[in-house]
Amino acid sequence: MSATQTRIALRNCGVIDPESINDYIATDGYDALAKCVFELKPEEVVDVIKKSGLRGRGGAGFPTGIKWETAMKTPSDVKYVLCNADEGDPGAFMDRSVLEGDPHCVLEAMAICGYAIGASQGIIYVRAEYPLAVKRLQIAIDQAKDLALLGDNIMGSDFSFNLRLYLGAGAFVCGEETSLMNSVQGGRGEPRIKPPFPAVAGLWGKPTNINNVETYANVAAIIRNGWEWFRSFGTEKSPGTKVFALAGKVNNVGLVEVPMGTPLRTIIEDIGGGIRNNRRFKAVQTGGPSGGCIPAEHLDTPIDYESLTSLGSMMGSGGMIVMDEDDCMVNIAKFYLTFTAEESCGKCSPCRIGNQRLLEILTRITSGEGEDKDLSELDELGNIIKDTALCGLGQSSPNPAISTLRFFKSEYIAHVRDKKCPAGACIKLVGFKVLPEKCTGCTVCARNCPVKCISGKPKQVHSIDQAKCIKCGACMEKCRFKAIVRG
Amino acid sequence: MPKLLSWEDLKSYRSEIKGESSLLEPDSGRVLLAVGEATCGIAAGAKEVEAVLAKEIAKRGVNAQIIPTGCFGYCYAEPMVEVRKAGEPSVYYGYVTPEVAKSIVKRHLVEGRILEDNVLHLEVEAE
Ligand SMILES: Cc1cc2nc3c(=O)[nH]c(=O)nc-3n(C[C@H](O)[C@H](O)[C@H](O)COP(=O)(O)O)c2cc1C
Ligand code: SF4
Ligand code: SF4
Ligand code: SF4
Repeated sequence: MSATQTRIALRNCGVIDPESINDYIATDGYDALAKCVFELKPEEVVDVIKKSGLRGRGGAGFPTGIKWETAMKTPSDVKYVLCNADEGDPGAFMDRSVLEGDPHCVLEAMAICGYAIGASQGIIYVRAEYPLAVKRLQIAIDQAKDLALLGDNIMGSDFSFNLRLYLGAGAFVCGEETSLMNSVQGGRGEPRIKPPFPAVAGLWGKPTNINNVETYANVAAIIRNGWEWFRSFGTEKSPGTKVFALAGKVNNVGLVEVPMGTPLRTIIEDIGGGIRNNRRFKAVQTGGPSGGCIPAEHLDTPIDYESLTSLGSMMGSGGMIVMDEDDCMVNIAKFYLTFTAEESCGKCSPCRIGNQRLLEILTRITSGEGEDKDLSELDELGNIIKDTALCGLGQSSPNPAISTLRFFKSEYIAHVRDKKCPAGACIKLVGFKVLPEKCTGCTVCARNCPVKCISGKPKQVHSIDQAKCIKCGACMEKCRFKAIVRG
Repeated sequence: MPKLLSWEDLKSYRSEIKGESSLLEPDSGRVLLAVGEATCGIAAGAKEVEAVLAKEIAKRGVNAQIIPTGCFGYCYAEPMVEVRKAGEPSVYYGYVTPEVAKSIVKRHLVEGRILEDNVLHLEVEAE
């Protein structure tokens, strides 16, 4: 764990008391807002953000300054600033950590954005499943209002900015920006076609700037330290840092923030401390259900938006799940497809029907019923869905399948032609056997087998009739002596 | 609470409260115990650790202040306690149980001996 991390978005996480506005103020908090309100014109604020090269941390990596500029230049009596704190990717907790550890940095950035684009109202769309984040955000808003750092006439100026929370409806698709806005308006959480983009016509048809939590978490530091400072981290096209929620088979699970351009290997081996139990690294999944799996031969890829996309994956919001030789890549693809098929809002048919078909193919393959043509169909159908779906959910949902097919084709072939799961993870393709040296003959397995295919006398080694076994796994689960294994 | 009605107000408010904040000025002589209390820390038992620290501090009359803070980033090692002494590098303890928490107060704060076995070695470059 000696590798160096660089903390910008997480600068106060684990440092200050998130429920104390004084702690935030002590670390120069709200100075960036004061600087904007008292010293900079809105165009100048937008200019700093544009020059910093900050890109959206919520998934797509769109330049933040250009978004702000569009919202600023679109004339309207009312405008909105939204924060996307829906964080729906399985395994991701970057945004939760920022909100729980440093809520004021998000409030300050949203107020700065309000000043820049000419909005006096902001809404944070936060998952209802994050009760602690909700509580700390509300405390922070109340404290900032009490000190006149939010609300009407901030710090005695002409600028007013009011913030409130909106608790999410609990669907993954509500993290998609147009769907999120429908949800805030009280409608169904369904996406709509873009354009118009939110910066032109967003919430209630008004120009709306929407950014991710981590995107906002960078803003005050950029204003305080200057865009040149921000650009001194990261790469030319992806300046700054990125927070990752490192999970899976690494020794050190946690939250890491590294400069863009850091090789994947550094995160997994140095910061993550390598693979647990001395197993071999197999792949790293980035981008959640929209992303893909990257194999060992690409571990030296520097992390930035473009490199990950070229590998068929995505930066996404920053989930990073490390897999070892015990993980079956077909099964992993099936896991993500199960998630997206369930979370599809159903508005457009490529996603609603197509993802179900993809899932059926993957289920067939992992059950040993796949055929050669399933592989080409998987690829073809996946690409059709990507090209024709209405929103980002469907446009990226085939990625886990397509990328595993690209990098781990031999594993698919083993399932289809040899009816084998090399990782031993697909239950239908592995047998169960009794280890004679461990079996005590306790008879528990035989009594729990639903098809009564285990035989053996009490206190003698038991055995499984492979022809009758339906591979339910009940015996392995019940054996207290770990005498039944896959294989 | 006062209303801050200018940037100057904000700055003078900052200098007033700085001395009691989680930011340690080098020669203030203050000692802080930061406990990671994001969801990850709380799930691992940080609230109990905080309670033990508070009790031990009171019992031994130690001059230290507890700061419940956010995620340190080392979720695998929660609960975590950081001993922050003015003018000294921080010491981070990981996998802190209520017993370890007791020892942190007794051995580290009272006797001035670091609990080497429980220290996590971290290197983070701050902003
Ligand atoms: C299905 C789907 C889910 C999304 N979920 C999130 C999310 O949970 N959080 C988020 O910030 N962005 C999410 N996005 C991206 C948003 O649509 C949008 O791009 C983002 O909020 C823009 O902020 P940024 O430019 O700061 O990244 C999602 C997109 C799609 C298609
Ligand atoms: S792609 Fe999926 S989630 Fe998006 S609009 Fe179509 S059906 Fe709904
Ligand atoms: S439950 Fe385990 S130990 Fe008992 S008979 Fe079955 S295999 Fe042997
Ligand atoms: S896997 Fe199920 S069916 Fe097969 S032997 Fe075990 S309990 Fe019986």
